[in-house]
Amino acid sequence: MGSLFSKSIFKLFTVVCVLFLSNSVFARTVDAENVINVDSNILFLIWVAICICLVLIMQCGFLLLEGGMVRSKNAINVILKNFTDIGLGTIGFWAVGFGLMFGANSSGWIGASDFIPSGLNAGDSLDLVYQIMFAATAATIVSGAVAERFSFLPYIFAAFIITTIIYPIFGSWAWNDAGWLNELGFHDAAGSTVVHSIGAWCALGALLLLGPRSGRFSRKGDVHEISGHSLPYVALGGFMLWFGWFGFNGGAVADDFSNLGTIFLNTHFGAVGGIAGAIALLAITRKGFYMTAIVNGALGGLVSVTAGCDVLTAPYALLVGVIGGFVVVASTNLLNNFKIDDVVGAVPVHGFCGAWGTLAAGLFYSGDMFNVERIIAQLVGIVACMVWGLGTSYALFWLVNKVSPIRVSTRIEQRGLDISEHKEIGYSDFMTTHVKADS
Amino acid sequence: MSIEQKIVYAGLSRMTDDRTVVKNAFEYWQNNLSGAPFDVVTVTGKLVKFLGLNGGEKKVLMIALHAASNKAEIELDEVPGFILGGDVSDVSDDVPETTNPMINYTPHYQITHGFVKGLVDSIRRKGAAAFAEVDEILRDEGLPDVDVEVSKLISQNGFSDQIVPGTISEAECRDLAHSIYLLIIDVIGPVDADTMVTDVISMLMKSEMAGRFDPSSLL
Repeated sequence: MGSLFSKSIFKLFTVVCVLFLSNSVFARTVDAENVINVDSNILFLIWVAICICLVLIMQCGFLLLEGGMVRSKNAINVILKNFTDIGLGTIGFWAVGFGLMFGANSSGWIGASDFIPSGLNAGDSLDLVYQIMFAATAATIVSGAVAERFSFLPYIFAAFIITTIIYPIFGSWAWNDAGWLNELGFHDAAGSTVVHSIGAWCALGALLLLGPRSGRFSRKGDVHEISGHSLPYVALGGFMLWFGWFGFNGGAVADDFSNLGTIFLNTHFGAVGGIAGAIALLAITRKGFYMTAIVNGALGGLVSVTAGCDVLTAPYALLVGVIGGFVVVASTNLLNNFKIDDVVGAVPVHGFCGAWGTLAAGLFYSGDMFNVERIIAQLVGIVACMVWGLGTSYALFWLVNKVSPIRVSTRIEQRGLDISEHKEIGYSDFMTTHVKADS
Repeated sequence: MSIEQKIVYAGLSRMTDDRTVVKNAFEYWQNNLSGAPFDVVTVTGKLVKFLGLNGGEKKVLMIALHAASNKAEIELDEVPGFILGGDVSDVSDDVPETTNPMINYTPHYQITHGFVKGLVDSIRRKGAAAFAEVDEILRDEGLPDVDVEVSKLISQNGFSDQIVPGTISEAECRDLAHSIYLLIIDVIGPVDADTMVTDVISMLMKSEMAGRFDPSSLL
C-alpha cells in the first residue's frame, strides 16, 4: 500500500514538472522585437574564416606527412620548405598572384589588375587569405616530391615563382569569371586540377631534372626502398589533411549553404573510397598492405572528389574515391618503372588523381551525366594544366639550376640536409650518424 | 689471413692459455673444417670431440667463438706466426704474441684502412652475392674521384682492405670513403648502407687511432 502510494505521488510529481517546464521553458512567447536575425552574409564570412583555418591545418598535415616519409637526417629541411612555401608564397601571391588570377581578365588568359591589394572589405580580405592558402597548398606539393636532395635556397626561390606566377596564371584560366577555360564550361569546384594537379606537374618538372636519390634505383634496375623515419607521423599527417579538406572543399559552398551537406558527404566518401580502392588493388597485386600506400589512397580519393564535390551524388563520390585509390597505387608503380623518385607520392596523389577527379566531375555531373561537351571541357582543362604546369616548371627549374645547382652534392646527401644546410639535427638525442656541423 | 682463422684463434685462446693445445686445435680446424661455411655450433662440436673437453670447457669455447664471430675483423687479434706455421717454442715470452703491422702508418691511413676493412667484412656478412657484385663493379668500373694509386690497387685487389695506399692523404681518404659509400648504396640501398657505415664508424671511434684522426671526418 505504501509503495503504491509512493509510485502515484512520483507519477503526479513528474506530470506536474513536465507541464510546468513545457509552459515556462520550452514554450516561449515570441517577441518579434527581440528576435535576432543572423545576416547570411555574416554567416558566410564566418564560414570562410573557418575554412581558412582548416586549410592552414592542411599545412600541418603536409608537414607531418612529408616529414615522416623522409629519413630523420632530412626532416628539418622538408619541414622548413613547408614553412617557407606559405611564408614567402603568401607575399608573392598577395602582391602579384592574386591580381594575375582574379584581376580584370580581358583576354581570358591573364588577370591584369588588383595587384598589391589593400583596403579590402571583410569579405574580400577573407577571400584573399583563402586563395593564399590554396596557392601555398599547390607549392607545398612540390616540397615532398623532391625531398632529400633539393637544395634549400633554389627551392624557396622556385616555390615563390610557382605561387606568384605559374599557379595564378592557370588559375585565371579556370577560376577567373572571364577565363577561357571557365567560359568553355570547365568545372573544378575546389581545385583538383587548379591546385593539386598544378602542384603535381610542377613537382614532376623538378623530378625529371633532379634525378632520383642516390641509391634509390640500382644499375641493375632494382628499386631500393627508402623508408621514412616516422610512419606514425605519416598517418597523423594524413588524418590532418583529411580533417582540413572539409575546409578546402567547404569553401566551394553556395551562398545559401544549400550544398554544404553534399560537399561534406562527398569529401568524406572520397577519402573512404580511396582507402577501399588502395586496399583492393594492393590485395589484388599481392604487394602487401603498406601503410603509406593506404594513407596516400585516402588522399588520392580526396583529391579525386575535390573537383566535383558540389555536383556528385554520394554513390558516385564513393566510386570516384575508389578509382582514385586504384590510380594512386598503379601510378606509383608506373613512376618506379620510369625511375622517377617521388618521395611522398605527390605526383600519383595530386597529379594523376587530380586529372581523374576532374574528368569524373564531368562524367558524373549530377543531373547531366556523360555530357560530351562537358567531358571535353574537362579534358581540355586537364591537358592544359599538364602542359602549362610541366612546361613552365621544367623551364623554371632548368633556369634556376644554371644559376645555383638545385641538386645537393652526394656528400651532403649522405650527411643529410638538416646538418648540411641548416646546421641543426632534428633528433639530436637519438641520432646515430657521426657528422659535424662544420665539416 | 681470413676472418674465420682469427675467430677460431680468439675462441681457442680464450678457452686455454696452453699454446700447444691452441696450436693443435687450430691446425685440426684448418685441416678439417676451414673449407666448410663457418658455423659456431659445428666447429665447437668438432673441437670438443678432438680435444676431449668437458662441459664447462665446451661452454667457454662456444661463448668465446660466438663473441668473436660477432666482432668486426679489425677488432680481432692477428693469428700469431707460431700458430700458423712456426714452433710453439719459437715464441719468446718477452715478445708480444701479436704485433700491429700498421704501427708505422699515419693515423688517417689506419682509420681509413679500418673503415674499408669494416665495410668489406660487413658486405661479406650481408651475403656472397652482394660482395661479388660490389667486387665486380669495382674491378670493372673502378671508383670515380680517387687517386691514380688507389685505382691501380683496386684493379689488382678488387674489393678489399688492400686498396688503401700507404701514402694516402687526408683529403684522399675522404674521397675514397665517399666513393666506396656511393658504390655500396647502389648495391644494397642507401638505408642499409647508412646503417653499415654508421656501425663501422662507431666501431672505429673506439679504436686507439680515433684520438688522432676522427673517423667521423671520413663522412
